[in-house]
Amino acid sequence: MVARYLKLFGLEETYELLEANERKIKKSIRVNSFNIKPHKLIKRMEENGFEFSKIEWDKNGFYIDKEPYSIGATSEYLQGYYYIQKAASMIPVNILDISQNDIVLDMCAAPGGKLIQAADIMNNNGCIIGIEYDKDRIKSLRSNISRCGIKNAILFRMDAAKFPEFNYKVDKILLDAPCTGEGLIPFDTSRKKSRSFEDIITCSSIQIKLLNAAIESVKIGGIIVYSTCSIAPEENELVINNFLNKGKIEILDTGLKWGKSGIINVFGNAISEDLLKAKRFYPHKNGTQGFFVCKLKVVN
Amino acid sequence: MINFKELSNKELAQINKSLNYFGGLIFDTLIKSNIFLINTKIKKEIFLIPKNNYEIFLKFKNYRVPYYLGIYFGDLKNESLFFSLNSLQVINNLTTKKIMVNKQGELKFIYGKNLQKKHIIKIFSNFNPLDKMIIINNKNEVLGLGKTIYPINIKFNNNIKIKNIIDIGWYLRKGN
Repeated sequence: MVARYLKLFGLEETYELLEANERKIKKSIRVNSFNIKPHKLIKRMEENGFEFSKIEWDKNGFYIDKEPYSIGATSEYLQGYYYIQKAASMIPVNILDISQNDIVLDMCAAPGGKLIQAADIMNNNGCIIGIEYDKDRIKSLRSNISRCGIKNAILFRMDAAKFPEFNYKVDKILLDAPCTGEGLIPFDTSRKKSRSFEDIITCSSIQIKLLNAAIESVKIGGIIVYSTCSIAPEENELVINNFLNKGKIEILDTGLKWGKSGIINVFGNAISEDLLKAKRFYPHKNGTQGFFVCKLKVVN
Repeated sequence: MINFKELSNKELAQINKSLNYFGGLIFDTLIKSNIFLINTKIKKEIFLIPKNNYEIFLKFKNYRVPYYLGIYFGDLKNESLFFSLNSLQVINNLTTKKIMVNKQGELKFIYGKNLQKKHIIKIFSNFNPLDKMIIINNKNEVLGLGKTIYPINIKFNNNIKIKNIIDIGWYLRKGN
């Protein structure tokens, strides 16, 4: 893993990344503003000893600066007023340009953070189709959306790659693809050794299958936001590059002023320069988990 | 796999009757913009789904049955509705069948415990023994559903014991 980082980032940045991977990353929450105004919730929580600071890229997102007791055991949490969500994970929904009456497909929906965020932006209108294959994870998804009072979701337990069989086109798609989770090392240091190059290749083939299904499932002109919590180019830029040559998609600017541009020289191989429009987040640069996000438009 | 279908007239009448206890207009208010569906795979689970989402559900119905949709409203058992936490939130502002508790009562209740007179700060209706009521905190937030052992008078002069039927602590104890 370190050898790969050295090739991708050089010595100095690799050192910074490895060092940042050893530091704790701030926990964060996102307020469900259709249930409570964010300032009201923050005031209530601060009265109970919590302290927060704003997340720059989400008006309802807050870092937890002080947590006197578990943020997952407050009565406000039980009321569904917020969801515990990693800061970078709030980005994909924010760049999806969701409108209230859209039909949105969340292809890998559990445990529900992005689905709940989308429902919040849609003010519980429109429709979100959530797909999850794993039996236990879909139970947790159901519990989370119930707690948060989401009523505009339809959940299917199935392989998201089979969604095109429905022959149903949606307006927007969130594809937070299953990945090696290399970017989550600050939260789980066992990932340093538990993921191999073979895992990257396995994930990459699943990601290509899912992105292909997403392209088949969105209306022409529709938007797909592809994201992973991996920093491996094989799971990110190379997955998207695979489809750019086929003329079905184009990459849109995310409009984000945060994050680094996508990588266009992957281990000595040049790929489409359009991938500079993708964004990468790192613990040493942004104080978040390692994260990749790319906004795509289906053109053909 | 869960099987969803529209309710029979008999089942709708049972739900109407259960909701009627909390307020005469609740059922009609809900069905103006929503549809009740039932899943009978294991038990009779009732879901409330917005009408526009129901139309989308119909398009998928022949290909695959959903796992979940709309909000889970409760279970139909012995011809009456056993309310879910979500359904209590839906009807909270449409009913006076509720009791407000203080902070101590709130904590006790969400830990699954019963309530006593010292926990109560406001009674919105009179209740007969075994009557059910929504338990709320002083911010009008739903904590769950209770059932009284003794009659409760709005004037507050009785012995009070309210049994916990369901509370929002469930999300921590069993939800995830």
